[in-house]
Amino acid sequence: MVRINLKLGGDEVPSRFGNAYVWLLWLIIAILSGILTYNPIYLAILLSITIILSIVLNVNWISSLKTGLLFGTLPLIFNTFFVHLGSHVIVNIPRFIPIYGINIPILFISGNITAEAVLFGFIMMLLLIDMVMVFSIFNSVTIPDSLLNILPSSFGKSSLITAIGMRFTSTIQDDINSIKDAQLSRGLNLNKGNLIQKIKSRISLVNPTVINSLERSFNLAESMASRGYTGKRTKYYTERWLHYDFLNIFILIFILVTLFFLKFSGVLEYWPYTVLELPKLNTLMVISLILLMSPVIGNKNANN
Amino acid sequence: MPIIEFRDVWYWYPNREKPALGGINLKVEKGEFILIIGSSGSGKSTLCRCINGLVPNFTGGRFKGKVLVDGAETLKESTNRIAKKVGMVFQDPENQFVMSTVESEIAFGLENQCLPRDVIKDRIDEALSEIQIESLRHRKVNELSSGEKQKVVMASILAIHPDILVLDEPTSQLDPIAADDIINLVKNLNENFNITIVLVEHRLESLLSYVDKVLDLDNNIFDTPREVIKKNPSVTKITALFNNLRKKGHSTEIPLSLNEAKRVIDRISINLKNKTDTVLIHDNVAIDVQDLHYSYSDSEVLSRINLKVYENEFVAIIGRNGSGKTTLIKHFNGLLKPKYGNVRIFRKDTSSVNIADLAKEVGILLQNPDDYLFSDTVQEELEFTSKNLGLSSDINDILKSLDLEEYKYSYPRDLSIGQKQRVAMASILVGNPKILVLDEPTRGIDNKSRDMLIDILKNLHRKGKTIVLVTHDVDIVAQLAERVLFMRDGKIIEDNPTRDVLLKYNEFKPQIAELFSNNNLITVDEVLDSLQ
Repeated sequence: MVRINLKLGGDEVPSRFGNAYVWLLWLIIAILSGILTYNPIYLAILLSITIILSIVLNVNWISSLKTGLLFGTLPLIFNTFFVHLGSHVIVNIPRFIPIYGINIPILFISGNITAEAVLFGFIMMLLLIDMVMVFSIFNSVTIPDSLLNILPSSFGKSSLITAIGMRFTSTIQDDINSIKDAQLSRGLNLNKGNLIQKIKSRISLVNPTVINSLERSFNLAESMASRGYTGKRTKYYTERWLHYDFLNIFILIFILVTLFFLKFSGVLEYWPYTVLELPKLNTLMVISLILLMSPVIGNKNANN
Repeated sequence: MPIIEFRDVWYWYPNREKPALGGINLKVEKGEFILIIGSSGSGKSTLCRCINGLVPNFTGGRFKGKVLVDGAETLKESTNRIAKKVGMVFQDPENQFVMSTVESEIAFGLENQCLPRDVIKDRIDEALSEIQIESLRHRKVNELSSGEKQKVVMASILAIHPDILVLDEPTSQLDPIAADDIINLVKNLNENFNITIVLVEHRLESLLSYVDKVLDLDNNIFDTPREVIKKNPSVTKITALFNNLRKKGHSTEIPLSLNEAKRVIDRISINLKNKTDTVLIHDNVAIDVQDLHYSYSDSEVLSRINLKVYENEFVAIIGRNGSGKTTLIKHFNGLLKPKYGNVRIFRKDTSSVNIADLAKEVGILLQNPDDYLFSDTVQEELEFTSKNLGLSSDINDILKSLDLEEYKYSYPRDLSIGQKQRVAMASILVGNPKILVLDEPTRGIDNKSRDMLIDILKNLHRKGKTIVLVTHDVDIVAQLAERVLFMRDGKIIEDNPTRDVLLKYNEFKPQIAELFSNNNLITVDEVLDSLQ
């Protein structure tokens, strides 16, 4: 395969799965594919695509899926029990339940549990899982430093902060684990007591994590200042471009244009609260979603 | 013209009444090697940060006096300009990395100097070669060992071609072998490249004979090492020993290095009794590990570990970073459960007991005391453990035994590292565990806190505690442990009385043992007691 350097003289970005511009564009389009529609079938297809991509690229998708489920359960619960809109009533929770002749009030959740609210909660859950999966793939296939190289210098400080943030995710995870070990060694039982007690017991993990992270940030800022960081800087790396990167950019732009075309022609619309009906499928949208797998072409080989 | 000059420098951190530096005057000539010593809070790190202008340009606070670097006043220079002249290496390499690969990390400082690509490439090649880490070039920084990380930090600084290299305890997170590597590297940079070195370090044994001057911030002395030890003779084990020999009537000068000490010993004749140990018999097994295996994902971290620790025994575990020491002790209170094999604490299998219940029997103090501290006061910190374990221990007794009474109402995070270490230990001891396990408790603490820790551990052992100590500090092992386990690559390769192990392995031999191995002596006290 022919390798093309856009700029000569520097070193190339040490890439894992190919060109960072391609993956950044992929990230933007994958996010748009999710947020431009509430159609659960498209969201489910997007989820399947991210799982396939994760498997092919050897990304740990099970833990990302678990994280997505953890976040996604919240809107599902919230919508199901707190939103009472919709005409398809599954069950009605009364305002009072009589126990031994005493009427016990059911606070907040009394009212109709509707199919519309459950479905919308489910759509939100799917969307959140999709977003977690998309970011997990992006984090795994790109090296944080490459963001610094591909974003224009006007993004200088924000791209550096993003790059450092991405690198520090694993450090903070390590911090949380060692703090958890320390607190468990003091007899802390995270599973003891009611919900309030469980939340309180976790404060002993949150406080040191936040303080350690702040101290780490301060140390890092000192290190950057001592190495002369002011924001104005040259770039050592150039991005590696291969033939299929141009092909991928072309495919991704095609998906982007299709997405906006379908959005503005109303094909992507789905709103369960208006009319509860089966979501429609558009062939062009399905093809576009499948084409989101394109960056894996060639780039999987590039890594080998 | 001196390359560094402090003229009556005073500095107060923001919102502090007490100055961190009080009237510092010093002159450093180009190519000199300066060693800074002093207890926690004596201003060592602050002084280092003055040289590259971080104090006060970055930290704020009140500053009086002048710091001149190569004739230019740091207060009036931008940190970017100072960075070209002064490179700084901090304690923890982990907190210094900005980028995620070795090459991009080295390029970072050069990009900040707005150098063109071809120059950056040459400088990276040169720095990697100088530090001899060419093989790490494309590695991710978070996959490196602590020693490799610190070398990468040094390469990233050297690539900028500084005239001055300031190192603030660069070996505090490293094992003895990696630490020696770094110290040798620094000596080499000074010798072969004429780089001015300012080094803060606790491991002084291999440095005293090499450095040009020592700044002792506790005693406000800035002089040659020989003059400094005249006024402060206990800076190393060797100087402390020879100072004591002198007091006992032996006519001897105080040597600065091990080699010098060997020559002095040959010259003065001292008669020593050979040391033999009384074998202590312990009956009841406290920790019983049988055929333990443990692995993280694909790599085996512990393999075929068989071990018994008896009640009221003091056992030390030594070995290089990554040899499996911490993974092993995390099995003692159930933080890790065996993948294969058994761990029993007083006959209870850790696999079937929860961590909270095991915490009543085994108190573990892990490496970073900050991981334990989150309350507003030291008292609340201790009460948290008592509450978790359903106990009503006498907090005042514990605070007194750890010399923390005066800090009862202090915010734990504001204390010195040695004091934080003791608060974290108090938060474990308040549960009155029968077994105390400590992981690198002397890391980064000063000599005073270290001596205090030794007394505390001796006292706890005397009161019947079973103690397991994981450490790189062989002097503390020599002073305290009855038995030593030496680990390598996840296996225990030696399990014998302390004296036998420390005299057998050169890389873990205390300096006193190097001098008196013929007499089987491994500590200063033993040498003094053996004088005939």
